[in-house]
Amino acid sequence: MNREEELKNKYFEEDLSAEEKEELARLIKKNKKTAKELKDMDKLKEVIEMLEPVNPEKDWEEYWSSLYNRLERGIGWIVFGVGAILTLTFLGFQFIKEVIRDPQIALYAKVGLISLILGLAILFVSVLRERITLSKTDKYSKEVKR
Amino acid sequence: MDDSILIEKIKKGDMEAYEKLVKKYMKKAYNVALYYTKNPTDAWDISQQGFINAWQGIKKFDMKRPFFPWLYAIIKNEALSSFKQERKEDEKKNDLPLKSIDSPEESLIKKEKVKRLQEALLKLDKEKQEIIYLRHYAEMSYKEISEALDLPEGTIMSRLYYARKTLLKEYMEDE
Repeated sequence: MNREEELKNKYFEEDLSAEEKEELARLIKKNKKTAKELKDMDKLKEVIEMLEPVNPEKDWEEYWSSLYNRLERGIGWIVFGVGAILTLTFLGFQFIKEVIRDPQIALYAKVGLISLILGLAILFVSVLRERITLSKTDKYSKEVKR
Repeated sequence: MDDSILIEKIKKGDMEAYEKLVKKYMKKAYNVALYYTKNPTDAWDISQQGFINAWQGIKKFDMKRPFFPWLYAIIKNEALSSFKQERKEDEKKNDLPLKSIDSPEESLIKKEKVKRLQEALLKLDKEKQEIIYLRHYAEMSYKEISEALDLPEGTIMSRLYYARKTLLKEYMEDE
């Protein structure tokens, strides 16, 4: 990018200092093509300015309430999940204890039940470990895909 | 209020500070999401998800860096990885999300100019479209674009200049 291009860019951005304005004026005097280009840039600027960004701020109340509800529900589900895991673990432990102590239940049924619960526990730990590993890899700190 | 003060408060769980931050960046976030999703409903959804992910990951935020480019990366990733975005990719290719000018008082000439600009924008490659969109519709500063795209400010200035030059050429061709 040469000096003239830099000045033209600043002209578009309306970011020229007084000295730069004079410098650009001198360039225009020297080169009629530059003057024509700046006029065309004005036309482009005019039409770009017609297209203001979409402003969702008029719907702020709805936006915030919907966002807040999503956030709150997310937190709610996490708390509920933790509570459910703790409760189920406690109840499961009590249940197993009762089953193992019960002499009327056959040994194979006891082994089957313990295997079932042990399998579920391994699956749960495996999923949990995967989730923890994923959460440690912060995808947002990496460069985004282009 | 300065972003760093708000973020410090958010890190301590201050919902009021979070609300202020969302309000401050909602317009930009929405317009970034709109560029990538090409759909107002998806943009609404993706920008909100971006804010939720930001809340959840705010502890990892590097306080030395500006906030919006970080949010921009979250929103862009969210948009690109969303199922909706993938599914509609083909049908969206030729549709840039520009605010339509359709109120009765606006002239036909203006509408024609806007149409021409939209057509000219569609002729640009994705890189040029993106940088013009980030600057003019998401209203990001050079510094923010530089952080978001991980490029020096000088490169951003240069890319923007050539993108606008190409846009101008395409726009004036139809005149």
